[in-house]
Amino acid sequence: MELSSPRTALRRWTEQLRNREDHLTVVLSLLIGVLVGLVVVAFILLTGRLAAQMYPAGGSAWRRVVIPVIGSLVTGFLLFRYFPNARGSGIPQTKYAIFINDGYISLKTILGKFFCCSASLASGIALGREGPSVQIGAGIASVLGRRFGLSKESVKALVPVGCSAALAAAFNTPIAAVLFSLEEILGDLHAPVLGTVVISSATSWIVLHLLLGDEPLFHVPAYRLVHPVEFGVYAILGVIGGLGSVCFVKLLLKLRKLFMRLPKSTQWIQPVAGGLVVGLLGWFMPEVLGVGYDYVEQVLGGDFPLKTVALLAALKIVATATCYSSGNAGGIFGPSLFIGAMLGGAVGSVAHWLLPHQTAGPGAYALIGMGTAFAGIVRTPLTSVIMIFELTRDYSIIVPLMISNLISFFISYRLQREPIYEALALQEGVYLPTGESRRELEEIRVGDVMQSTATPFPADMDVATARQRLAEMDRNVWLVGELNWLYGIVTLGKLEEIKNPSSTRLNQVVNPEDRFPYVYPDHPLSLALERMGSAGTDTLPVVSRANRRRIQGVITMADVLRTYGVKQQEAAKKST
Amino acid sequence: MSASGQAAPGNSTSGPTIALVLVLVIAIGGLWSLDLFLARTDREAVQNQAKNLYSQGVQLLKQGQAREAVELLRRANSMVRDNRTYQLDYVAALAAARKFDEADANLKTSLESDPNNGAANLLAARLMVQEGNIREAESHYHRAIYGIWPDNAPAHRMEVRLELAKLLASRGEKEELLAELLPLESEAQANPAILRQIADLYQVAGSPARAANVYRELIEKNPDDIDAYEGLGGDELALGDYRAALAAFLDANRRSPGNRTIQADIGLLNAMATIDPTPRRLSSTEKFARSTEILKLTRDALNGCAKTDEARRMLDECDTMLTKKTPAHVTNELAEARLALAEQLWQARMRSCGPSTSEQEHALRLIMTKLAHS
Repeated sequence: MELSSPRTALRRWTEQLRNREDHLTVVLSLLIGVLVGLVVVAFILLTGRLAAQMYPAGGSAWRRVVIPVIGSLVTGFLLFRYFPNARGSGIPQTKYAIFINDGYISLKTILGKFFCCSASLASGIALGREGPSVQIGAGIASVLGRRFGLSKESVKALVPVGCSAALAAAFNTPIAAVLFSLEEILGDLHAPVLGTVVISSATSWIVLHLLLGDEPLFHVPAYRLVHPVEFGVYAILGVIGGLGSVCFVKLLLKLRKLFMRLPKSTQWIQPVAGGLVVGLLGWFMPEVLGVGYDYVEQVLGGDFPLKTVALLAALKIVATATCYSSGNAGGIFGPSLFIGAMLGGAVGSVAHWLLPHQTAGPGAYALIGMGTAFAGIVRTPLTSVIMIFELTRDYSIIVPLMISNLISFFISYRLQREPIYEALALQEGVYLPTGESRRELEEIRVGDVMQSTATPFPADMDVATARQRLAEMDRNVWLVGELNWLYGIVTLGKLEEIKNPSSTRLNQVVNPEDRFPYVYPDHPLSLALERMGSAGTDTLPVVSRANRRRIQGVITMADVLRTYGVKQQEAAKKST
Repeated sequence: MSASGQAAPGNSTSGPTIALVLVLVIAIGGLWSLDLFLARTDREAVQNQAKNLYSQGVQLLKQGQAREAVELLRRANSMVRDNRTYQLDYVAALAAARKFDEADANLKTSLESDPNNGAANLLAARLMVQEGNIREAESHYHRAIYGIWPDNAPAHRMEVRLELAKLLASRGEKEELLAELLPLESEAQANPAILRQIADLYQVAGSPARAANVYRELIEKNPDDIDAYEGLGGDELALGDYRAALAAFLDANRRSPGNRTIQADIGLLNAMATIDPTPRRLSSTEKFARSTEILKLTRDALNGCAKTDEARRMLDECDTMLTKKTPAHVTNELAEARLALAEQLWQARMRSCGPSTSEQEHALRLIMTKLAHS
């Protein structure tokens, strides 16, 4: 037996992988997890070191004005001249890649995002590192998928895999990373990529832990619910968080609209506006600069004056909205947590002052506030609950977090219909599918449309009669059974193959053991359409979930088209 | 197409794939090294910064600037999260700045992760004392005593038990205090400074005999220990053994001749020796004379502050007794009667005028205490 060399074995293995795209996708998910984890850790550490160099301990106040201006000027030019796709957060760009560009993100964009964001964030621009990390992760997944020769569909499916790996490493939140990729990036919690998304998130998280150890992003003291009256305070926090989120989103969108009206030739210098605003604010309040996680941790510890946190919440809203809308590179995840913590801290301080014995310290409210703002701004309530839980590893906060998050989400939804990323895309003329629009389509169920008075052909009917009845009904398929009991279905094609139609009964043609297409009443209409397409029929039996042989009705192609507002004859005419 | 012809495209496609895998392996290796380098650099920089902040914070805490110390220690603690010393000193600063809620919350986190940590429990106990939660404090003190101390555990445990004993002493919880002092005494045999404090605490616990024993141990270890002689003298005095007390004070005086306190104690004992009616070998005449002197002294003590009718009545009764002609042959019963009246007068004095604190009444006070217990 011939022994193969390692090179040959590797070649054979890679060949096998290439031939089995699904296997290759799983292997790539692991690889993406490792690679993205490493790149994101490098991104975080590099940004942190650069920031420490730019703002040494005890440094002069002038640095706080000059450095953001220079930083935004340099990165603004680089973004304009060399990396136009690396502007902004990275989340909308990732969604464009999935929904418009077949998962394509260029290597140049990844490099631009990495270096421009690193320089921009280190210079004190009030944006976050998580959104850019997501685009970098998605980009790495896209590049790898293409280089390994995957189909466009598979490359597209790898993009959320990169996103979850990036977020798991950037936030140290593997579960929230998976949820975010499904809830926000794909807008579908039941997406088929769940498995690969989980693999990459876990792998990336392991890399992070091997390199940086097991430390949550924020260390918070153990808080507990002091008195049931606190639920009321958390509800108020939800309202304030929701209103704060709406203010932030509206201001950001409005400012961005203004900047977009400026001549295109000024795009390279526009980020300086953000740098200047954050620099001037940072002159008076250094906490506004950068992502500000240090100060968030301080507030979570409950150590802050009320006036400061209230002021910081307002200043950060202005600083982040200006920095983002002027075209600096960086995300809004981190700032939304900052804003939330400040709002929560302010509400908590007032509550603790009014009801010292019934409420926990203000730090507990700052903690919940983070989730509240995240749910209101990013509009992913499930991700926000899990993310805050993972960031703090404090289980006792779950119920208050859910209460205030949902209230904030609801208020934000009522006052600002478009979620921020969709609204940003819309400003660029891109119509991304929103979760709402998907839900609207999914909301129509088979049961709403089906004909519940379907009478099946009796099993002892002869084939000739059946053919005639089908012709009369203008169908190519119908049910065979007794009353509401289904034996199977019979197609026109099959009946036409029968040589003695008058002497052949349907029970000789239909075998009850044969598989046949069907739908349940609670299935979405889109699934019925899909099944009709794959079975080549214009009618499907609607059966009971309790017993597949019990007929609940039938649904026809005409019913479906009518529901979507299309007249079948017109459609047929157009198709001809 | 031949087999070799089929193999050719395979080679052409797998070629780049292998190259790609190799590039990826190199990229992962390179990134891993870069990350390790960056992480190490970052860790070192952060640890140095935290160390500086911690030193400054502790300095400020020692200078009593707790609020300023809190900020620096918080930053040090958030930079290096696994340093127990940073954590506990941060909590201590919070407590010193009277930010009890935050101190509690931070300490709770530390204790949850390491419930047997001796230092954390000691800090929790001190925090509870500051918050007035004494029962919880005692519980944390005990957890600190039986908890884990990374270095020099016996010394830490002894100090914690002593701190608890002082707390109990300040609250007058004599039984609990005694329960702590007994094991503490056996642990502190090699530490004269702590033994001395234990002896003082035994007195507070109402056990002068044990206190005297501790002083004797100290004298045995160091026969020139003047403080031990003084302490022993005081305990013997409390036990009512004036002779032993005088001997101890005289020993102390021999080693420290110019010490006025010791001389005052000797003077007091001499004064008591002249009026003490309890020695067994006293003649009836002498006992009667001392009883009469004590009755006069208690009358004078009450006379200065008596306001009630009852006090007046007792003073009248005393005067009557004193003006009565002394029989030629006095008996012990007569002396006992005078002493009984003297005790009544002293109690009346205590009721009317409060506890006696004057130096002049010191000897009388001690005698009356001895009589009350005899």
